[in-house]
Amino acid sequence: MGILDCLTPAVPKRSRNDRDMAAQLGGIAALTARHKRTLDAAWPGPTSADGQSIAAPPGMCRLYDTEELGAALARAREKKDMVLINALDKAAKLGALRTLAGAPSAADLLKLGDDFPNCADVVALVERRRALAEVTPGREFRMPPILLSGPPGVGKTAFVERLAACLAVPFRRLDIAVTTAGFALSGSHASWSDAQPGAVWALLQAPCVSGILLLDEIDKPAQSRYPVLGALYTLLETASARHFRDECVDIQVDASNLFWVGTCNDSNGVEAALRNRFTEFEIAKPTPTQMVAVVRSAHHWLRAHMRWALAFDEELPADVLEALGELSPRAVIRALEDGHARAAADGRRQLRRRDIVVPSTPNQRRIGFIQGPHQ
Amino acid sequence: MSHHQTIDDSGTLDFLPPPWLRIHQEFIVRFRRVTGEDRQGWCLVKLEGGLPMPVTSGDRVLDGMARKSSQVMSATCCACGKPARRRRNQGRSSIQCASCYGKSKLMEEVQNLLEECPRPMESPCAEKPVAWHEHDLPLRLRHVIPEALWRRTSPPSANPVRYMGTADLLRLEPWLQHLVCILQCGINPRD
Repeated sequence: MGILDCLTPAVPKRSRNDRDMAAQLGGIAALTARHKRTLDAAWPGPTSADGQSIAAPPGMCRLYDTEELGAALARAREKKDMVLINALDKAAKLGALRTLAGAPSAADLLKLGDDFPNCADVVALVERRRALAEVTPGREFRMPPILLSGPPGVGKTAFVERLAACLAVPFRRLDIAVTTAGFALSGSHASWSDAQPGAVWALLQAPCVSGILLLDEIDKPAQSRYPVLGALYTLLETASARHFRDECVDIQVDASNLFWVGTCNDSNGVEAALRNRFTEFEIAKPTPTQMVAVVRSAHHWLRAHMRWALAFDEELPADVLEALGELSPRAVIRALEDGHARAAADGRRQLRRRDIVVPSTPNQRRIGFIQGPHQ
Repeated sequence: MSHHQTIDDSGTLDFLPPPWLRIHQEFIVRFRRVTGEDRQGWCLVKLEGGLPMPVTSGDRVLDGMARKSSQVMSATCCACGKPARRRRNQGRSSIQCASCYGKSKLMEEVQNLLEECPRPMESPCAEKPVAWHEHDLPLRLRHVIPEALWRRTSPPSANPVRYMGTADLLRLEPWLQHLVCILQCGINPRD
């Protein structure tokens, strides 16, 4: 080393790590520049300090006003209303900003259509909405209220449950036939001693606010002094659902992102004003060809959910498929369970045609006095 | 041929990320040129802990192809296909370029910061920070936070420092959450 080298200050070379970090920051800067417009939309700006005016970013929504919730919680604490405190506390912990349902995958929808061939029209609607979600910032998926009408046991409820799983959203079922009052939907007023929030509030208390609320047997509302379906007139309209108030909790929430599905046996039994708020689909009994797919789907469901099913053959014999095809989709699972039980009792691990018992329709006996021999 | 026994010819190459799948296909084409055999759907590599490993078959040509393809994959980003190197993150290895690695690290850092975000009516015993000095935050995160958010203080006989408080973080929350969405799409362009 020469004397000049000692006098020259050592210029530190950029280490490999520095270069790597610079490349990382460059990549991040390029990405944020590409999405500048949507990021700017989510940025509150330096002047708004209250935190309330911030629009929710794509893919999310603001469920409630934080200040209103804070005030309601303070009031509930004053009154020592534990039901209300718990309800509001849970909402506060989950935060005002919640996620919306994203577009489901095309593969999942294809599988859903295969498993429920008689619901092809509904799957087609979901598929179209999926395409719309793909071009929406944040891939927000929205679906209009739908009404599925058809004979009992064709798989309407099972389809909705699978749809919820496919969309990865919370699911809640409300049986309208046994619901005695509108409290179940929109909560009972806090002045009642046993006031409770309703199903809408309960469904919104999840990180994702695009849950599915299934209104089962919507054509058979129970006769009651308190109209069961009254709140639906507001909730099924997007504009008014944005300002929904549960009677118990009494804070304004945005319920416009919920998915509504009604099921009924006869859509004529649904009040006209309510019926025209739904997109209606007729769900017919599957054809014999479609039933093969339904039976296979039921069999796979059993194998996925029942441990005993794994002890039996993976595929059903053709004659068993044919016999099960005569049943309604609802009866298929029951017949498969019974059939497997018979096979197990026989010491077999394969299902045979004789294990499947097609239940006969019981004779309709009239209520009344039986005629005695002396008459 | 002996290699028929060990090479996975099931035809499922879904486990390979698209940039690696392209490399794999190139080697399959190269193999066809050398031997004249069409082996579409064959699998030359397997993934072990996220890293490509050659599958040995006993066939000299095929083993060479497998070794070479895993070497090329080990220097190719599994997300975008750019030149990359092996990286370790939370005990897991991956082959990523600087840009993709930076995005995934930033996403992790943003999520950690969001966890520190106070919730309304949260008990004070939650022990969350009330202020963040700029040097408390990782470099990537510090770099990305908008300049307008920072507050400044000038301690006597020291350079001005930037910091943000709980209220600032609350205001920034929707922006950070949107950033996470963007990063998720940026890291997995297929999504």
